[in-house]
Amino acid sequence: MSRFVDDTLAQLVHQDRLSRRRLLQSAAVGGTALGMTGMRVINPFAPGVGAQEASPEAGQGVAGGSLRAGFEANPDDLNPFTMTSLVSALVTEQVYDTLFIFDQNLVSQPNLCVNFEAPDETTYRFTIAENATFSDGSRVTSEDVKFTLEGYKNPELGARSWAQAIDTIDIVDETTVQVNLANPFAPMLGYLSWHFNPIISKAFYEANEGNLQTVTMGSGPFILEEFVPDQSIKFVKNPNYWREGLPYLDEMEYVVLPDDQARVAALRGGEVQNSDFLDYQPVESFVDNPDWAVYQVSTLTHATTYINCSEGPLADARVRQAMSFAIDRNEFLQTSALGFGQVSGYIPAPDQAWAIPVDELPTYHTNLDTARALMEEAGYADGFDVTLRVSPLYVLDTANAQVLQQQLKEININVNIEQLEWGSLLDAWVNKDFELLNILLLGQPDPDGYTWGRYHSTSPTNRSQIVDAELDALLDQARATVDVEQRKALFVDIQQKLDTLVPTLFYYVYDVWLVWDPRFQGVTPMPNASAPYMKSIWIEQ
Amino acid sequence: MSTYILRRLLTMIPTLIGVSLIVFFSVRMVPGDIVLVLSGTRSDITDEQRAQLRRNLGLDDPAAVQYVKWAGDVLQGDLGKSLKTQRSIVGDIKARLPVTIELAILAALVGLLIGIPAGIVAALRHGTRTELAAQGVALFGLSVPDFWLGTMMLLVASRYFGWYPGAQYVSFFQDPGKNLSIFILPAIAVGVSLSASLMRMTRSALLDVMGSGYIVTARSKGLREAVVLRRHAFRNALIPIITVIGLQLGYLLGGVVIVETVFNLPGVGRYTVQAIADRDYPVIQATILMITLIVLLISLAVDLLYAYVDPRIKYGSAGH
Repeated sequence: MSRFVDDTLAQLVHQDRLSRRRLLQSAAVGGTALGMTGMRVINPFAPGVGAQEASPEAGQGVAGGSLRAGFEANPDDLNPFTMTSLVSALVTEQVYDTLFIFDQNLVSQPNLCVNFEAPDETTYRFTIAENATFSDGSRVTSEDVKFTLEGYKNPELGARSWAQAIDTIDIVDETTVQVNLANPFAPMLGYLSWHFNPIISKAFYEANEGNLQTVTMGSGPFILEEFVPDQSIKFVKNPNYWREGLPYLDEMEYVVLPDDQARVAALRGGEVQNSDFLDYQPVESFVDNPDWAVYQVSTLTHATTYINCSEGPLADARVRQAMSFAIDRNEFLQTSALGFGQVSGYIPAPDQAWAIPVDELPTYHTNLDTARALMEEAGYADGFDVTLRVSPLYVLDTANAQVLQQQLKEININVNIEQLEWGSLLDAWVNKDFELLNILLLGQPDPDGYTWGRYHSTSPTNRSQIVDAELDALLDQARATVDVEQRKALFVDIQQKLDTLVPTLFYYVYDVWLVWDPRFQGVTPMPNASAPYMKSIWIEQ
Repeated sequence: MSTYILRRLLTMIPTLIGVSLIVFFSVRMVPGDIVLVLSGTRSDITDEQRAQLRRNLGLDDPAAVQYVKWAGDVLQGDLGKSLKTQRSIVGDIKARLPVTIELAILAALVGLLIGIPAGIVAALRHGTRTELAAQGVALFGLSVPDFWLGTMMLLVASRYFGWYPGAQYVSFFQDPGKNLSIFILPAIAVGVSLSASLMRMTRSALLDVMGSGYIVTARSKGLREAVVLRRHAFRNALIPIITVIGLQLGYLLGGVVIVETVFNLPGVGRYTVQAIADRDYPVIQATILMITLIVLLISLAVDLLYAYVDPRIKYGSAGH
């Protein structure tokens, strides 16, 4: 039996992830370094700031009141089985609950599942909270968990890749379910903590004949009352929410305001009390303003250039290494993201439990002499032409393309930038129709998500088309190893191996900005583009 | 007249069929589809997962089969459902069309109220500093993008006056005051640029007419200048002005996308452009078809208005 076996979830799941606190360390803004650990408010003079260090437990806050928040886009499919967009998940996470939940440091914590056992590496036993109910008052049972997980596995419904690791599911009793895996699959709990994978009521699904695209009912803190496209998404408090005392807010409304400046104006005009921004520019006027609390949050979204390793000069690992040696990633960060973020390797830097420091990646040390020598050794001392595909939708992608174009000139690689409309770029990416392609990649719930799917030779999402037997073996081993320390050691090897193969160029992860009316307490920003803390938001009287 | 109208209405049918065919097949030729766009850069979504989503949405059928099915539904008044939201497109358009129509009418009013008087003044004060000033204002209106003007007005109002017109649309019948406060800034933003072209057209049309023989005759009869202008000059100058208004109205009813976005107005333009970005085929097909129909109807209305303004124009069975 493995050391993996333990009877408490907190010990079982990535204990060392607490070190991820650094990801939310403060950064210097406008020349002012705050120099404190933990999530920070940029404006240290905003009222009530001190109370926002951590998410309050139920009972600390004051119930009542409402919130209007500026929201960037419309949700689409709200059916958890089929939804794929981040915006939809931001809505459904307020309505549905997951078995486990990530805390601010991305540690999986108990949620619907309050007791967890692992008799061996392929058997997980989950016990649901006795008092867990859906918003219609019905209990969340092991039948619902079995139905949901089987739905995610079903190739004609959820078709989730992670759920294919599940072999069978047995109902032990009304609140206990046993999941039997075909093989050890370490990332399982991470995926069960992800807000893309909540538990669905079997009865509700059947009553609606599976059409959950527009109707919702879950065991989450809020009920989706109304969605008017391009206008608003209204939630009301779930009176049957099983976590006593939560949520604090009676009502919550996401006002759809796609334009940055419109959200700025709505904040200033008092129409909304919160909004998030991807860029610093619209936020600038709120910083150092005592009427607002501004949060700078590191994210897992990473700026990337995919390299097609299957043909031409780019198929030669020495050429790809030369490219990595030739670029100065800090210049990318400073030029494209105005310095708001941090240089990142193959696993996003904020994921400190798994990401090795970039200093330990040899090709991250810019060295033009080494780069030129590698180009010469590969027979490309005179360089070559290559096309980089990019979409103007994201300014960071196009800015990165220009910096890359400039820097690769140093080793005689002439980069032609080809701009594509966003949908066309996604088409090229998915169909591997590129030489180089810039894209911002989203965070994953487990380091496996950054590695196996992207680089294993048998993975359909290996878009760089890298093929390396040694890497495959390491990736398979890491996927099957549930012991945390052994797994960490494997991921060190994987990242170092990737630094020799260079199937992608990673540059940095960037920061996002949250502007809040400082009367709203309990804001605990997450690095993974989710907002589970909304249930803990309360208004200071 | 009725025969003429009927014939014009009948000629719209092949135009609409042609547009529907072009739109239906051209949007499918563009790389990417809604499944790709919605899953975005999630590197964990597998091809199997995407294929299943395409089957769920009926995107795996041959395009010709999809067209026949869609056209059959349209003939029965069913524009289908949005692939993105699964909401009825008819319902969405019904909710959005009043917003676009109101913005178009208010913007046209702003344009008329500024453009026509300014054009008349510029024509009457031909060669003076007044005309120069009016032309300068027109040049400003033509040069400044409506979305920039709108954004500036919005930011100045919220930053310096703490006033925001409202993040959510309220219909005129629900709350006229709130409704007008929401529309005032976008109507000005769009109306200013419209007024510039109207002013220029009014000025040049009036200048043309003012040199005509019948104006000299009217003046020599001893008529007051205001009467000459109202009865003889302006009425005859109206034809090109109406043409410009008709063209602009067609443009406005297609939706002023960026202004709708800046002011969070849930209009048809924003709906269409978002659908194009999302590859939401049924929405693109339905809205383009609807906009085409509106433009054709406005064109017919403008032609009929010519006959009203100028009795010399007659539409009969001989066909003009």
